[in-house]
Amino acid sequence: MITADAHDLAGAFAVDALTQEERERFLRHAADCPDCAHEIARHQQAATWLGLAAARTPPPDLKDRVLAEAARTPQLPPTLAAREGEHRGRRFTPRMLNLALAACLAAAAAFGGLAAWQHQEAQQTRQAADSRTADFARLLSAPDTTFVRQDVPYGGSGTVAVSRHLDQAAYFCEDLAPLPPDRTYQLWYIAPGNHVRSAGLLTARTALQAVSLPPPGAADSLAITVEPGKGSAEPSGNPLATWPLPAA
Amino acid sequence: MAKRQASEARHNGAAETDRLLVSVAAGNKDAFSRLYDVAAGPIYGMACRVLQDQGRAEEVAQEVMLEVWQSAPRYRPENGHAMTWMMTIAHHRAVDSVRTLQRSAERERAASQQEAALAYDDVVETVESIGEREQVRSCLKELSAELRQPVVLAYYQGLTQTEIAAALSLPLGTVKSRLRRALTHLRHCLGDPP
Repeated sequence: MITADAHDLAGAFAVDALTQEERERFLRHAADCPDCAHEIARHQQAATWLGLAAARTPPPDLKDRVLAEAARTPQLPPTLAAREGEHRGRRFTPRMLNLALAACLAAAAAFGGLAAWQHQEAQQTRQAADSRTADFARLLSAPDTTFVRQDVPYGGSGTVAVSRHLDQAAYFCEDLAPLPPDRTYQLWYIAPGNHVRSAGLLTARTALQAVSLPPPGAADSLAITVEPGKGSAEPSGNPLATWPLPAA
Repeated sequence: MAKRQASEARHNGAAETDRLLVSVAAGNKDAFSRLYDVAAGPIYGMACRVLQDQGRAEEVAQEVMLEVWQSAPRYRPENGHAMTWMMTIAHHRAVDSVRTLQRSAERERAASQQEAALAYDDVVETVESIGEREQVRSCLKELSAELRQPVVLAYYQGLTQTEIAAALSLPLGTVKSRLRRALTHLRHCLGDPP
């Protein structure tokens, strides 16, 4: 689809007049379109009026059922991006793009209509967008993508995003502690039967990093170790942290 | 003057709804009860119109309110008002539901030119003539039929742009641009929603 054509879909998007496929295509376009976010937000406001105009008193017992169900349903954690803002009390910076986009697209996957909403937030930090964005967008907007977060001793925290359906994964981390020049962080996939294979190297740095991982295949966990030189064929020590991956 | 007061009241109402949703995000059940009182009517009414079935609309309203409870921690007030956030979730859910229930071919058949005209009349005539609904009604009436029909078919009947193009015998590109123009007009006519 050519860009101008995709851009033209903002109105149709706001009133949910797109098929799932058109919608995903439009969101991929919107992730790289500074004007789209504003236009989508404006159209969604107009659409909200159409909904308000149809308001009707709901059946009286609905409220009791909703409140009872809410009372036994845990709330979701804030998106990674939202949490970042809270804890650090600072505005988004370009280096946070990938996490903001991750949060935005994860929310899109989970909550459909929220996509454009959270997308505005990603827009504010889109300067650092690069060619990885499309890959991440595909992964993070997949309906089955799951996020698993773990603290890494001496190394901040890391979150792995996995879609079994796409057989695709990515790793997000921040505050990875500096290493001596002859050492590197390495990620590993571990499959049942203790089959271990490298999932790539990580640079030690404090900035957020978002890394595309190889297809997880049969792996049921991800681990991180410190390795000599340019990495190892097999882990040379115990992992600093391990992330259980959702079942295939 | 009256218009300015209405606008201020709307602004205060919007800010109050935003605060309620922020309290809900902190797990406040009392705030959720009050948020329900504000949001359930619009969500249920919109779902009734899209689904044409009160039982299913009730299910959708229940699912959406629960989703609001669960995902409230992800609401960012600086990005916009709570009501738009909730109605965006709700409309998407209602449209998903109606599309799952009806096969596309049937929907295209049903959405004949004639029914498109009926749908518009139905909406404009049955929207209750009170307060802000009257404003929506009059802004819809200001739209030319060619702009009004696509947006009514999309929003209230959950048709896709392709189905609308078939129903109205229009090129797809025309439907896209009319949807944008209609929404732009409505927003200029109505301002920010509460």
